[in-house]
Amino acid sequence: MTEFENYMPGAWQVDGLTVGPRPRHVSTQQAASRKNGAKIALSAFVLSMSIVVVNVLILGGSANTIGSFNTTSRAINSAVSTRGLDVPDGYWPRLVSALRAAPPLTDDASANDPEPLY
Amino acid sequence: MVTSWWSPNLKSALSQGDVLSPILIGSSSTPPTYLSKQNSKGGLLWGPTIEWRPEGDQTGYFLARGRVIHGIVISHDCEIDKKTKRSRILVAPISQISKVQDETSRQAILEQRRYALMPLPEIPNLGDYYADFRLLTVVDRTNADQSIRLASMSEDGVLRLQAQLIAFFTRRNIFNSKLG
Repeated sequence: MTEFENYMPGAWQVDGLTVGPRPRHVSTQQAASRKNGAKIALSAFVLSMSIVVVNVLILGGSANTIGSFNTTSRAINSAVSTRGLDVPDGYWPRLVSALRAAPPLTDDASANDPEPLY
Repeated sequence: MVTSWWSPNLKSALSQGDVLSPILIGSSSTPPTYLSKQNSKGGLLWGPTIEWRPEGDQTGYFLARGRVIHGIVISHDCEIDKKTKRSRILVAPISQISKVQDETSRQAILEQRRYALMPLPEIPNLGDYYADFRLLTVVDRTNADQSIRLASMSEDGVLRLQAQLIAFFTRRNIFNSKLG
């Protein structure tokens, strides 16, 4: 997990995400061992995410996938909201729903438009 | 009733809808050309390099082509307030509407029928301009602070700007939707 811990919500900073693992010097042996560990961790992560996705599809049905996904990610949202970010609960799924319900505007493309300034 | 898109006075601090000048906007040259500092007795000299050679913070220099022009601040005030070492301000370049040669196109912009090209009528001390959202870009906060603020939008003007951004990015008719 050491390779992933900096990406976990708990490691998020108030003013932005951590951009990656902190660089550390490791020996070749340690690096090889860590590489194998990372492979195992990655496999476990992919497997667990697959189970979550299957559960979401079974429980929510494909027509309501985003709403169901929101349920599974509520823990992440909670972790974020306690850190002072200001997106209200349910904001994104409601906005996505509203946009989905909004019909596309007609295309305004015009060959006569001025060229971009550079 | 909306009386003006522009505030009679500049806002107290850099804000969404402010008109800045000058701003440097551009994009990387084609083909991409990386630059590195080279030794010179005459002073600092930049030369092209084949390889990308970033510095310790993974940033480096490359050749860009663009313009020095007026721009309108797109970043929201809440983002502008968060000053950090690498603060950036999102801006859109603006240009005089009279420079649009094609009459049909100029009329379409003035009649607010273009999603990407927002009319900016009667900017104080400048005149009629339009913003080109196809060229949204970032400028360094320090450079933005060193630019001259020519005008600030009124509250109605800022809402109009935000409405244009929604249309530009979503191309959706939200009046047929239930927001919220």
